[in-house]
Amino acid sequence: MAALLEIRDLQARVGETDILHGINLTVGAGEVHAIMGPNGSGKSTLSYVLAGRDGYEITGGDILLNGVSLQEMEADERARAGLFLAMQYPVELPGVTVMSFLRAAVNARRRAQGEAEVDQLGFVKLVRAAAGDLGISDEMLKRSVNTGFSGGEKKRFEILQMALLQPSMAVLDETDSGLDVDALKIVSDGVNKLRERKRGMLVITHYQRLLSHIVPDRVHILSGGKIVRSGDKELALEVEENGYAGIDDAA
Amino acid sequence: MPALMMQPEAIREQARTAFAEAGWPSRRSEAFRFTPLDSLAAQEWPLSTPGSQPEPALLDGPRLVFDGGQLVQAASDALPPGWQLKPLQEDPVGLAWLAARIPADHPAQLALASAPAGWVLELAAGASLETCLNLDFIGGQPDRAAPSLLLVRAGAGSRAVLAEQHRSKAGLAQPVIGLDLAVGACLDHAKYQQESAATRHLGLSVAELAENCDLASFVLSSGAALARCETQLTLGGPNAFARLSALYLGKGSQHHDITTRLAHHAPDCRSEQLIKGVLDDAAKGVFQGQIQVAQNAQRTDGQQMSRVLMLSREAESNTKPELEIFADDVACSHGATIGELEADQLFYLMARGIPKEAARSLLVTAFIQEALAQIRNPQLAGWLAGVVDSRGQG
Repeated sequence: MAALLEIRDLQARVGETDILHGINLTVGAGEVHAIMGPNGSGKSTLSYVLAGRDGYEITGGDILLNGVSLQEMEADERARAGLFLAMQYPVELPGVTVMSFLRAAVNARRRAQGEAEVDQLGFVKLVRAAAGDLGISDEMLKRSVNTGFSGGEKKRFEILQMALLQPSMAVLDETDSGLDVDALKIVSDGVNKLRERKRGMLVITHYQRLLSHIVPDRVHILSGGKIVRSGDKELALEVEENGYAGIDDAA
Repeated sequence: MPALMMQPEAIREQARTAFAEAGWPSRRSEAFRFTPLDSLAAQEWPLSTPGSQPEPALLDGPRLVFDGGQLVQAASDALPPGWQLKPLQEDPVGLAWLAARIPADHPAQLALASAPAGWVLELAAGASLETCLNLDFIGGQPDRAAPSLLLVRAGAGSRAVLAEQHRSKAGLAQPVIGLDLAVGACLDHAKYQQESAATRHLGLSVAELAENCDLASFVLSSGAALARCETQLTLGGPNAFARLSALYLGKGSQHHDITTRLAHHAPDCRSEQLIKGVLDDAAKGVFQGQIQVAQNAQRTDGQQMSRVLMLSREAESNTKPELEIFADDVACSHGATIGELEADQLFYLMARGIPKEAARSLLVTAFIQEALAQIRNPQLAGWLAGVVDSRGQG
């Protein structure tokens, strides 16, 4: 299977602190991989390094998307190349309306692919339909981005963006945090709908419970900035049972 | 002798003397600490002469054209019924009203002394005009001053919409505008300062609101090399409401000064001010906002907020809020923030594929929108939103 995302011996630091110490990971098209790990293991750092956030510096190794290195690309170029990060803490943008934001994002992607900008009316219909599936009301679509959204609404809105942007590789950072059981189900259903042959996903989570809704093909345990174990979905259950301490010892 | 008793020539003479004594204010003058004007003293400022090319109107509705500060009746439209125009010289009470509201050491004394003619615009009591009256200030010449005196008197219970537009080509624009609102009058007012980069703009507006008056005023200041848009407003009767909001957009080496002095002199009045500034390059921004609450002005509600967005490390912002409260039953607040674009907001937008420049522009526009939302009248709101949009700020 062709490698969609290839992380090669990735080392990175934030400020003066080295956090990632050589991560190797390959996600093929159509695969869903999970990264689990205790607090401070480098999970969120990995997601920001992948997305290209300022201040997250790659000190060694490389990240390839469809065989192309992301290292020299800014965050916006990576997104237009097909990478999507569903954020753990979506940011409020008061004064930026949901619709103008979504249109700007979708048009940026379309322009990069040499496509015409979206037709305004058709786009509104498209957004409404996708939003309805995620239980996002028309009223929410009229607000400013993430402004006054509950924790669950923010996460659903992340998935709506993913549905509209149709990335080739999606990274979901702690998408389950702050969700109650019902919201978890809605979000997971939304993600599962987007699973398809061409798309890869990297699901980053602390807990196993998300992975019983979004069932991964592979599970990796991140600890101390390294992947210490990899396995199939059973590995997530083992973590649930024994905690991370046991896994660490085994590694 | 109190100004009210004086004849026009005596008032002018008094203003001449006042300016001769005080001169252009320097940094040592508290009110001009951040906008010293003493460099203007290096030259004489002979008066501009009218006669510049006519400019097309940029706003629907009847228009009065002021060329180099002077009303050009031939270029102006007929006033809609309800409005009346007469020379300030023939209205000593009006001239005295203006004179009494200009501080002795204020450079507007020079405008009062030297403006060739002033005008009183009177709106009849009870008149209600939805159409916006447009005051269009054009012309101006290098090294010449364009002082202008205009007193707007809104009769009891009248309603009006007023737009000021300042688009001089050069020189020193010194519009002094009085807004005298009688009991129950309601005025929507917007001022757009878009003078050329060769112009300095020293605008002073003085306003007085009687009982039950309602004023929503907005200033958009984006032009000129140096602009001071100053408003001194008195809530003189109970249950009056005033909103004084402003947006200034500074680029290059521009200097923008928004100064307000809002005096609550009667009980049960409300005032609101949201002042926002965007400063790029090496632009300087100044906001001085004073709220005074007199001892009898019980149950005053006075809110003031200043927010500045700095787009460049070279830009400079000075903010000075001041509360002077002598009544004991009041709800007053003020706040001021100065910040840059938020890195996490920029990242969020860029992580969705939006290029950095477009992302910055979206965030600046969002910042500006909150200020524009303060404009209550739909025509004025649409006008200034269009202006900001076509400027492509950000």
